[in-house]
Amino acid sequence: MKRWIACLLTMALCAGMTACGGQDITLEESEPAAASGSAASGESAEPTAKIGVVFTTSGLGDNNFNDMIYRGLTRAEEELGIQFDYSEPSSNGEIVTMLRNFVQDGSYDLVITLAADSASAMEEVSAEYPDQKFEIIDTTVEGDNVRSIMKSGADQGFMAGIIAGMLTQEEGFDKINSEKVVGAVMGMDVPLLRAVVAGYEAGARYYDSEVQVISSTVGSFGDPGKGKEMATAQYNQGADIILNGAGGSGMGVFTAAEEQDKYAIGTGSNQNSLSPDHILATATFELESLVYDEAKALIDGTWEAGVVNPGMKEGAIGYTVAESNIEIPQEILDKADAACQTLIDNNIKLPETVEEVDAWLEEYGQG
Amino acid sequence: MKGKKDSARLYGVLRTVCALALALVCGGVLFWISGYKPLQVYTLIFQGAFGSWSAFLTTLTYTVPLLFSGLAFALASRASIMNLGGEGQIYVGAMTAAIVGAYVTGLPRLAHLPLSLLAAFAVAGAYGALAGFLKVRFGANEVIVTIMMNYLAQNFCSYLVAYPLQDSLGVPQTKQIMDSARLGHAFEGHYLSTALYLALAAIVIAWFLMNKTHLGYQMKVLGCNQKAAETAGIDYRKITVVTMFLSAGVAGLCGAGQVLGTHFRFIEDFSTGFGFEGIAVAALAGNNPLMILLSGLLFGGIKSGAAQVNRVASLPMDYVMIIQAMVVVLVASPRLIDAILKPLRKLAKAKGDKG
Repeated sequence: MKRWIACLLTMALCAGMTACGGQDITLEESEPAAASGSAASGESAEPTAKIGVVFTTSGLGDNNFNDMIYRGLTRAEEELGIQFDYSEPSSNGEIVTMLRNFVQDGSYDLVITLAADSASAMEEVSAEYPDQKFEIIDTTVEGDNVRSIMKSGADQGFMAGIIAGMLTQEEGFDKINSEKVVGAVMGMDVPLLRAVVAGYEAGARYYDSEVQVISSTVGSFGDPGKGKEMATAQYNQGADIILNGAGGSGMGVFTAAEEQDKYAIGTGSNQNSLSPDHILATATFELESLVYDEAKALIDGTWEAGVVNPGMKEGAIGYTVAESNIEIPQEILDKADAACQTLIDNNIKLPETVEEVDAWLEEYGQG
Repeated sequence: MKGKKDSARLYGVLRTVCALALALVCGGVLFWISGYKPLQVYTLIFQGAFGSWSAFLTTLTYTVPLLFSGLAFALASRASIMNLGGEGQIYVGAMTAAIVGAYVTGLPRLAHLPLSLLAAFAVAGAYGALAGFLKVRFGANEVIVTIMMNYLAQNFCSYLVAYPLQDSLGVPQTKQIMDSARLGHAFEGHYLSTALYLALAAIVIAWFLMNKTHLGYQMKVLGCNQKAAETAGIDYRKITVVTMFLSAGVAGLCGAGQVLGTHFRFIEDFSTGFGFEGIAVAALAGNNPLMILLSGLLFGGIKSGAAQVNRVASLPMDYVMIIQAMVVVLVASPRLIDAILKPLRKLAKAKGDKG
């Protein structure tokens, strides 16, 4: 009996504490659930479209894909009045459950996942729910209800290559040697990265076919130690500029550039600030505006399933020299722009494998 | 005499409830500091976890692996063996199920599915029994051995999915399992797999084993006092190895359930730490199989509800892990709760005397 009283007292105490806590805050609480969409869209309470995103385990704050998608959809939320919700998995095993939860909810017009990490979950769930629209970024999943957005690797490589190829011959840069050699360190031996290397070589040799391109593959996206080793080896072989296409392993490429006092080029979202004295430029993938356009297409009803490979022409691939301390001569940048414009205007398709590069240069090369 | 025992048990329950409440209060303070309304967050978490039939089924998907792993830990604890190798055993079970499910072909579902489960149980069990064997044969400390065997299992599985069993280049996962090895859906219109029924069956069987059989009695005696057990003619070596086998086997089923019912292949890092969460589940349940059902549901509910809040209100999942950790710390420190309850009990006693 007495214990029961004690029990009641304790419960009352606990309940009291919790209750007080609740009443005390009124300011700046993030009103969950209902408010998040309507507040952002301003006048209309009903969102124009509802989009769900399952991020990868790197999650928000990765300075890369996750953040770009977040920014793109936040902009769509403000400007187009969509509502977007997201889940952040703590392990790859959680992705499939989070994806299913979005679909099970039934109110989402589109569910987005990204990267190869979610490919099998997407395959599974998109087949289970044929009426739901899905979108996967940076990998390909087949299905009548899935849209796969796979950037054009060759375009991205070309962007980096054209700059590297001209700069390696430039005089007056203390970190540029006399040899016409540039390098590329890739994460894995996959078709996308093979296309990046092919595009890179085509770009580097576009104005001067004598430029030599060396490339190596780390075999992992998460091994900066090995990335550094391979980059160092390439610098020792005479390369003075190396393209980093190795994800997390690529951090090792930047370390090697600092240690050897040579140059590197980043990929994806702007990596220049990671090492502003050694990273010349970043060949960017404008996922932010791409995702925004996807939301727009969804509202307009022009969204359709299938595989798309956006590249330079669509404005999805570009380069940036912002936040880098290295001044690339304007003449080089102009020539790079001109080359890209030529490709776009004449609808020239870049080679997807290194073997095709010689033939391609034969036909379209300027040197 | 019986009354005293009852009240002791009641006090145990009270202590657990207090620990839980205290953890929630601490979590509430944390929400409050971060600018959320604690009550509102808890309400949302509760609604997210149990607010509708579909939400409840989602909660069950989060609960099922915890039931297995909690049960695995509780089984070993019964014989006073600390099986901290649940995580590794889950990986072994999952990998075995994935291999049998994908590479054994031509079997009907009625044979293939049980075979996959049985193989997972047996191989994971053997992996755990190895730790038990090392303990009784060489006097190895099972805590250290099982923890280290986690790394062995996880890294070996990582190797397997990165090289010999890799399905497509660059993605660390095995081939998809055959349709005949898949667990079905437990209910129409929701993805919850029938691993749920397996978990329930495992709980009932474990309860029966622990309370109604000779083996269970031997485990219990061994758990109470090893010397006494030996004096009474119980072969402590055999019981230790058998207990580890059963415990690890159940952990293996946890992995198999994930592979055969959720992912349909082995994916690197598929476990969110089920093995370790199972320890918390078992601790909260006082190693009682039937109570594991409740504590598993509680932890599953917190996870599922929080995932829901994370989705609709962008509440970071890290808060949930903090609450979970707090539950474990407080449940694992009975003295602290005793100290908190003591003045209240005195107060109640004084009042009672007056009245």
